[in-house]
Order: sequence, then structure tokens, then C-alpha cells
Amino acid sequence: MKGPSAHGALLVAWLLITGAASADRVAAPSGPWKDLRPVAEVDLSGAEPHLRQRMLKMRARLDTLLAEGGARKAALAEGYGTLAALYAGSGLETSAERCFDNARRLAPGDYRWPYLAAQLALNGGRPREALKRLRRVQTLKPDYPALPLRFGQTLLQLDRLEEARAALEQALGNPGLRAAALYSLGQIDLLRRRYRKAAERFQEALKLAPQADALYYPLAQALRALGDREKAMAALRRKGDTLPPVDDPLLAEMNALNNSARHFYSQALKAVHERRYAEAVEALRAGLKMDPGNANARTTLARALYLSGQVEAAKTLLQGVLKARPGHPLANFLHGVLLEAEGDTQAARAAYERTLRRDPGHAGAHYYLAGLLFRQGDYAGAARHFAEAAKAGPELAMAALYRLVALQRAGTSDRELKQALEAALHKQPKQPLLRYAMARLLAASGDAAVRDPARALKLTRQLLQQMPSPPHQAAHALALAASGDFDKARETLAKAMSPLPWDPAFATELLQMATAFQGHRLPPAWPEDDPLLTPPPANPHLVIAEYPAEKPF
Amino acid sequence: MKPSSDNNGLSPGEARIRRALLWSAGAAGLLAAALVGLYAFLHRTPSPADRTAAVEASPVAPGPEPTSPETPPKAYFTDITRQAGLRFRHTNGAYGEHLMPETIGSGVAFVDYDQDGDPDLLLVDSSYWAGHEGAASPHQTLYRNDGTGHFEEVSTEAGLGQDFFGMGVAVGDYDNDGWPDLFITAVGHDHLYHNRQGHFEEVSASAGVAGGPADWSTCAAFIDYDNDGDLDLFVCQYVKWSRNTDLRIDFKLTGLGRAYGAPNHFVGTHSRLYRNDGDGRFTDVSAETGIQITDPHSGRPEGKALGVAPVDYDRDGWIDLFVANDTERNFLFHNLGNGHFEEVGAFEGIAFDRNGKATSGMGIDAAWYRNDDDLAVAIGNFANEMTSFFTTSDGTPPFADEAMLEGIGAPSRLALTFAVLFFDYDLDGRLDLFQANGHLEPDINKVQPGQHYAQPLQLFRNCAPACEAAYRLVEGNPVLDRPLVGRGAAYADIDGDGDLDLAITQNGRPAVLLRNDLTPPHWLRVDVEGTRANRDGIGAVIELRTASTLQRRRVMPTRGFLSQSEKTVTFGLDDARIVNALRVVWPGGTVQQVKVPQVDTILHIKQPITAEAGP
Repeated sequence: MKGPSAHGALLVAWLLITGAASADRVAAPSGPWKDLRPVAEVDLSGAEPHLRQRMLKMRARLDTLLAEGGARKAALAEGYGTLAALYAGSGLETSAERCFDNARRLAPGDYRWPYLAAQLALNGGRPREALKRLRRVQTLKPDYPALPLRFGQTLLQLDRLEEARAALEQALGNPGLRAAALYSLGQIDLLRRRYRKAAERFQEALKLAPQADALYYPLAQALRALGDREKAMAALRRKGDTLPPVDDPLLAEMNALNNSARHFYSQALKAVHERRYAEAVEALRAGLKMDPGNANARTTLARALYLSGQVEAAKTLLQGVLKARPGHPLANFLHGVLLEAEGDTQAARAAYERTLRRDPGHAGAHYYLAGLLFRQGDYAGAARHFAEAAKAGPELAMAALYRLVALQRAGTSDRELKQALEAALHKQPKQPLLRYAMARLLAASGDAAVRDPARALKLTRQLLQQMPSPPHQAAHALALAASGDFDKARETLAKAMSPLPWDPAFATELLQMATAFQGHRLPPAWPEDDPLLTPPPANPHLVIAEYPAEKPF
Repeated sequence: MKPSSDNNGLSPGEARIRRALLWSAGAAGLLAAALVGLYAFLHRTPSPADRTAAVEASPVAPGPEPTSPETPPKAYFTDITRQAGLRFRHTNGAYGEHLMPETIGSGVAFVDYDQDGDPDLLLVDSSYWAGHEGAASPHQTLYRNDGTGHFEEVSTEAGLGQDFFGMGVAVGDYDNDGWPDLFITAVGHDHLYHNRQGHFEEVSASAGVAGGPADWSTCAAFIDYDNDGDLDLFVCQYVKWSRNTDLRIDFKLTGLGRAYGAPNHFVGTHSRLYRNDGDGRFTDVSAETGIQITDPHSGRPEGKALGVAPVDYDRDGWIDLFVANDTERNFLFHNLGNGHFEEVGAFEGIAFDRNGKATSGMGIDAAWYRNDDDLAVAIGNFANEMTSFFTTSDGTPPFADEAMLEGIGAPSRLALTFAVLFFDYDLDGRLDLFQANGHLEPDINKVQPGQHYAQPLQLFRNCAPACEAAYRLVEGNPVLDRPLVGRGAAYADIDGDGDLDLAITQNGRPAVLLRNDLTPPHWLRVDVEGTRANRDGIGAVIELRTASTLQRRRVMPTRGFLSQSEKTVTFGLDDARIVNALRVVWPGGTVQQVKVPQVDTILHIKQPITAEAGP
């Protein structure tokens, strides 16, 4: 699809200008068409731009036809039917209903309109109406291949299981419908607790349509009921949401008419969720062909590109988004993370700040800007931004802690730090990072009013119960030393150092602790190289993979 | 701990007979369909164009709408909201920006807060958003029942009346002092009110259950998950929401413009389990008990909980938790009895609908609905998703969604259902199913012809085993058919006549009180008091046997959607005047046999101090 052009803009403008006139005739048919149902104009702001254009265009065409007194009924029916299909694709069921109704009135012998209207009713939870319409189709086109399947599916929704079964069994003879019919028949068997038969049907359907991973869930249920727990678990693990295909030319035509970027975007998000990044890239590109101006989708494409290993392409794409939308918060933020990872801290800082100008509450930008400022020695600035990041919620507990570490570096007293830590722990009493920091402060603070080795020991014991990791062992050693038991402290520290941690800074810290214990001295409460008390640099892979996008497209 | 087959009150092999009935009905249906198909085939006049195809694909013409030989069920409810003195109108705070919490609330609870023997009524209110205040004075509203079903507001005198964005409510005597306490969930901090002999005092912070300022808590339940004799607290969390996030997502429905965002646009959250420490304080044990479920791909919390049904589904003496999630799979937390839960929802068959799709789960309730060993878990779902009706088979999991078999599927498909409640409205000894419905979007009918903002209530009468499908919709009742924007619902006998009355909340509209004007057949109401178990007896199961049936009921106020029904258990006895046996299975599994000297009364059962023999 072509990008926005002057011609396109003119077309839209013309459609909008003529919209008022067109609305009158489609919304209020008159003259020879006064018996048609009025179809009011609706708010199309939620529709994709290209679909909006198609709807407007089709409505305008209908208006022109209605203006011609001698218009052919067949042409009008075709117009109403097409507009109905477009409305249906965008979820405008009420408008679609009215249009299908008009199409049926104008061309009562055409089976397509009651058939598509039946699908609309079925999908809208109105199976009784769907059934009436399918009966009408049956009189007009009894050999429409998908009809038995649709009857079966509709009757199933009406809880008329045995009638559904009879209809579905007719569909079994059609290769293009067999997998779907087996799926529904298996469902009926499952309901009737004929588990073996159900499993056989699902397995056969899977042979016919291996991509239809929605079959695995009912298959797992049947296997579970048959007592085959392992196979049931294996089937559950393969469960997806792709249904068996249905060879239904009319529906395919309607779906093609509504081919939307959103459809591809949804596919892409599912692929991202399942870490099939290359497929996500393809789907996003397909969507963007129809929806080239969508900055959110482009940003998501940049993320998918990065995660599929195309780092430069991702960066270039983000820059492209920012050229068109300089204030785009997520694109700025992700760009900042990439720049920081490359070592361009100045540009990264500018990107984070741009993010915050547009979105002052952006937790990610606050967090990474704070880390950057921390490493640059601007502890007051870091503390301010960590405080903002911590507002995002308990999952950013480390931001609350790093704020205190930054404050400590900025000269805040241990008493004030303890008070702030107490408040944080009151909110999250089991948060291990907060417990860790408190334990170390209570053990080794230079302020006697803050030191409390007994409580430090209690905290470190709890931490070791939660997770016996080397930092927790080291903290416990510190608490032991603070209690005067340097022998046990050395012994505990030895556990933390065996083997010596891979992180050289942490290894150095442990060696320094060992030396201090040797001289019956206490090391600093919050040493500068402590890996748990130092904000780590941005991890672009983690951020790009995990940072939530409020509007991914 | 499963009861043996000889004490379940069923004639031998009743379950098998039920299957046989279904089989024969199925076979008959198949035969009828085949005959119709044959008729259609023989009487068609093929056009020249379809002559060849017609032989290959002549669809069966389905028969006419099925009719039922049973008498259409009736119900006799009267709307007494005004005459009962209720003036509560829910404030949802909606001012045009379509912020998601506006459309979810709120709950209702029947609770005898003053211990005078009749159920009083608490209505949870939401609020205005800052800067968008209106004329009303939203507040948590308590009405005292004078014993006849007439209510008087006592919010302020009772220590309630606070204004916050309330959602749901849980009732339980967490300190075993004989006075029911209240926990009200909210957008923002939650609120625990300790009942001091009829006066509530907020103790959320000191008890450690206030949650966080950015939380959005929904349903809640007092349960004794560790069987230590005091009530712990489960608090559902919905999504990670903020006004800014909501506005940034800017969810739009084509045709309506800005609309209430769907939960799949928001990140999920972990629900909370607080262990009662027995000293007025609670400890958050969510992480170590295994109720925090994360998405294996994203690592983010998977839960978006709106409903919880605590039931000991495997009857091992430890309460399990069914959690209804909105657009995410439902959870079943199986209590392992060692302080830990294992999430087994998908494996046990309650996570998804029959297509393996997560539904928009809202309210939830559970019951042994056929008076046999089969447990049903009903979950209200979104419009165009039928109510889930997961049932066990012959008393054992896995569950399968049998809504379509039990007469609930098709009638519930169109409704957007919030509350689901099992209760015996006609006192015939069979649990009926009630649903409160209502859409989220006031203008939904503009774009979806089948949908309306206000929707009728639905009451399904249980006619099993006489009917093939257990449930039949009660139709043509003007009180039930009146469209409401239904959310929470609860039942209680407000006027002491033995039958169960209903309270229903509406979003942004007045609450509704429906009096049941049944001419009651015989009944028995049972109140339990734990001594070694929690004093409320929450989690106990009461089994009542008459000459013809065995009814098994749960002592559990947490039912429906964001709401609490009275904890007194009502048994409908139909025309039976004699109760042959009644026993209480207390949490933990000890059993107490009780003689029932008369019916049409309330029986108070106190747990013996010393343990009796097991079942």
C-alpha cells in the first residue's frame, strides 16, 4: 500500500467534505429507497486509517447510487453488502446488520447476504438469528459447501448437540471442512464423556491440520479423563489458539476485504510473546505496509528487530520513528538505552530527558537516567530520579533502595537512612534487597544509635532462609562480626568465597572483608563495590524484551 | 476424606443412570436429526446447477426450536428497595474519560454486624475522581435490619461511612470474638474494619493488610488455609492500573470512540494471601505459599483476578481456591496441606473454555448442584462468552465445562455476567443459579445490536434429575426481566420467613433489594460456630439427609462477584418434615453428627471442644 500522498489526502478531504451529503442519503433513504433501513454515521476514530477510508469511500459510493433514481437494485445490494462486510470487520455490528438487511431486501435471491449476516449473528452471540439466516441460505443455495459446518457450529451454540452432530457429520466428507468438523464433533464427544472417541477425533484433526494447536487443549482434557496424565500434560504444553482451517470462500472474501494491519500486529505480538522474533518482524512489516504512519508499531518492529539480532536495523528504525515523532516517549527511551549501552552517555541522557519531557511519569526513563547520573557522581540527581521511578510500584523496590544508596553517597546520615529504610520495609517487609541493606547498616554503621547487631543477625538469617546466596552469606558474616564473633564470621565468609564470585568487584569486596575480619575490624556498611547496592548499567536486551508498551501498535 | 458411596444419599449408580439418560437422549436426537435429514434429502428438488453437489452436501435441516415437557419454572420476587428503606446509589465517578475502575464496582454483603440475629446490609461504594467531584456524597454504606426486612442507614454510627474508591467486601470474624469483621477492597489502599461489638474501627495499617497505594483489589475472602483455627485473608488483585496508563492506552471502540479499556491492555498482578498471626496482625505469605503465578514467557504476573471461590474440591480437609481471571486463564490453587498451594487449573480443566481460550472471568461460585458428588464451579463471563459451568465427573476431576449440557450455555451466551450465585430460591432442595448481568459501555447498543448496557437478571431453576439438563431459565418474570446494570449480588433471609432474598448492586445506579415471596415449603437454616475451627465455621461442609435426598452445602459467605452472602446455610426441604441425618464436616475433616428435632427453624451448631471420630 502506498504511503500518505497528496492524492490520498485530497481523496480523504473530498470524502469528508462530501460526507455530510452522503450521510443524509444512507442515513435517511428517501424516494424509491425509502423502505430501506437507515444506517446512521458512526464514530470511526477507532478504526484503522485505511479501513476508515474504505468505509467512507464505500458509503460515498452508496450515496451516489441512492442519488440516482434509476439505480439498479443489484448494484445497491452489492454496495450495502460490501459496506456491511467492512462494518462487520471493524466491529460495527449494528451498522453491519442494517446494511446486510438492506442488501437482503434489495437482492432477496442472493444467498451471500443471509450467509454473511448469519456469521455476524453467530459471532455476536446470537445463534438463534444465525440459525434463521442459515435456513434462508439453505433454500437459496443448499449446496454451499460450508453450510453443514455452519449449521453444526450454530446448533452447538444453541446447546442442540445431537442436531449439531448430525450436521457436522455431513461436513466430514468435505476435505476443506473435515478438520474443523472433527474439532466440533470431538467437543460434543467430550461433553458426552466419550473421551476415547473425542481423543481420536482431535488426533485425526491434528494430522489433517498440524498447525491447529487449539486442538491440543481439548485433546489434553480427553487424555486426562482417560487417565493418561503424561500425554495430557504433553498436549497441554502444546496448546495454542490456532483453530482448524475452514474452506469457506465467502468468508475468505469478507476477511480479505477487512485485511487489517491490526490482524498482523496481533500475530506479531503473539510471536513476540512466544519469542518467535523473526516471524514477529515479518508480521509487523506486513501490518506497516497498510498502516505506514503507525509510530507505535514501528517502535515494536524496532524491538523485534533487535531481539532477532538485527541491532543496527533496530537503531536505524528507532531513529526514523524519532525523526517523524521526536517526542515519542517509548522510542526515545529505548533509543536512550541503546545509546547508553554503546557508551554514549551524553546522548543517552538527552534521550531519557526527552522521554520525561513528554511523559513525566515514565518509570523506565527515571530509573535509567538515575543510574546514569549515579555513575557520573551526581548522587542528588540520581536520588531524585530513583524516587520517581520507585513510584511505579513494588516491582521497582530496587529503585527505592538505590535512592538511599545515592543519598548516602550524597552525605545523608545513617540515622536518616535507617529511618527511610524502616519506612520502606514497613511497606515491603520481605523485600530481600531492603532487608539486605538494613542488615548491613545495622551491622556496620559507624553510628552507635543505628547499630543493632542482634537485629542484623535476625535479618541475615531470614535472608539466608530465603536464598543462601554469596551476598547474603557475606551480610551474615558481617552481622556475626558485628556481634563480636569474628571466627564464625570468617567461617561464614569463606562459604561466600568458595568459589570466589565471578564479579571481580564483589570478589575484591569479599577479600577486603576477610582482611578486615582478620584484624577484628568491620568493613563499611554499604561498600561502593557491593553488587546489590550499586545500580547496574542498562541492559538493552532485557529492556527491549520486557519493558511494557502501553500501545504496542 | 472422601465420603464413601453409601453415605452420599444417591441411589446406587445414579450417576450411571444419568449418563444413560444422556446417551439415550443423544441417540434419540441423532435419530431424529437423521430422519429430518432423510426427509429433506428426499423432498428436495435440485436445480440443474446443484444436482451433483446436492448429493454430496445436503445439510441437515435442523428441527424446530426444542420444547420442554416440564412446567415452565416460576419465581416470586418483589422489588422492595424503596419500601425497605434503601436509598443507596452507587457512585462510579465516571466523568467522560472512561477510566476502567469506574465500570467494575461494586460489591454487597449481608452481615449481622450487631449480632441481633438478622442480616444487615453493607453496600460498597466507589467514589469520584479528584477534581471531578459531583453532587452525591459517596461513602461505604451500612443498613441495619430491624428484623422484618426494613433497613435504616447506620453507616456513621457504626464507624463506616468513609469515602474511597471501594470495590468488594469480605466478611469474617478474624479474631474469633464473635463479631463479624469487614474487609473492603479498593482502588488504592484496602480497609480492614474490626468489629468492636457493633462498632467498626479501621485497623488496616496495624494489621498489615492495607496493601499498596497503587493496588487495585477486587474480590476478597476470609478462609482458614492452614487450619489453625483463625481466618486468613485472600485478596484478589486485578491489573496494574493508573489513570495515566489508562489515558495513554486510549482504548477506543470503533463507533463509540474512547471506551473502557480491556484488561488485556494492562499488565497483570499477583493476588495476596495474608496469614493471620493470631494477634491482630497478618503476614503477607503470597510468595512462599505459591499463589503468585507468572507468565513463563514474559515473567510478568499472570493473574487478573475478579472472583474467588474457596472450596475444598478434593475434600481432603484443606481449603482450595478457584480464582476467576479476566482474559487470563483461571487458577485453581490446590492446597497441599503444608502451607503451600499448587496451581493446577489447566490440568484440572478449569483454566479455559472448551476451546482452550481464556475467558473474561468475573464472579464465581461453586456447589454440589446435583446433590451427588459432582462439584460445579460457575464463572460469569463477558458478553458472547457463555457462563462457564465446570463440573467434575463422578465426583472426581478433571472438570469439564458442561454449560451446554446443563441448560446454561445458550441462555447465558449473550449476557455480560458479573455475579453468579448458587442458592435454592424455591426451597425444593436443589441449588438454583442466579446471574446479575450488565455491560460496561453505556452506548454498546450503538455498535452491537445484541448488547445493552442494562440487562435482565437471570435465574436458572434446578430441576435435576427430573430434567435432562439440570437448569431451566425462569422466563416471563417482570422483576427478573427488568434490565439492570448488574454487578454484585448476595442472598440472605432478610425477613425471617425461611426463604432467601436477594440484593443486587448496579454500577452507577441504585442497589436493588428483591424479596422472595415464595410460600415456603419446609426448610431448615443452620448456623455453625467453630471452637477448634475458626469461629465462623467458614470452610465447613454441612450434609443433610432426608428420605429422598442428601444435600451438601458449604459454609462460605464469599460468593458471586465482589460480594458476601449470609453465612447461615439454608436447606430447602420441599415437602419433607423430617431430617434423617445432619452432619458437619469441619475444616480439617472432623465430623460432627447432629440431631434435628424439628424443621422450619434455625439450628445453631457448636463444634465440640474435643475432637470426634472422623468420618
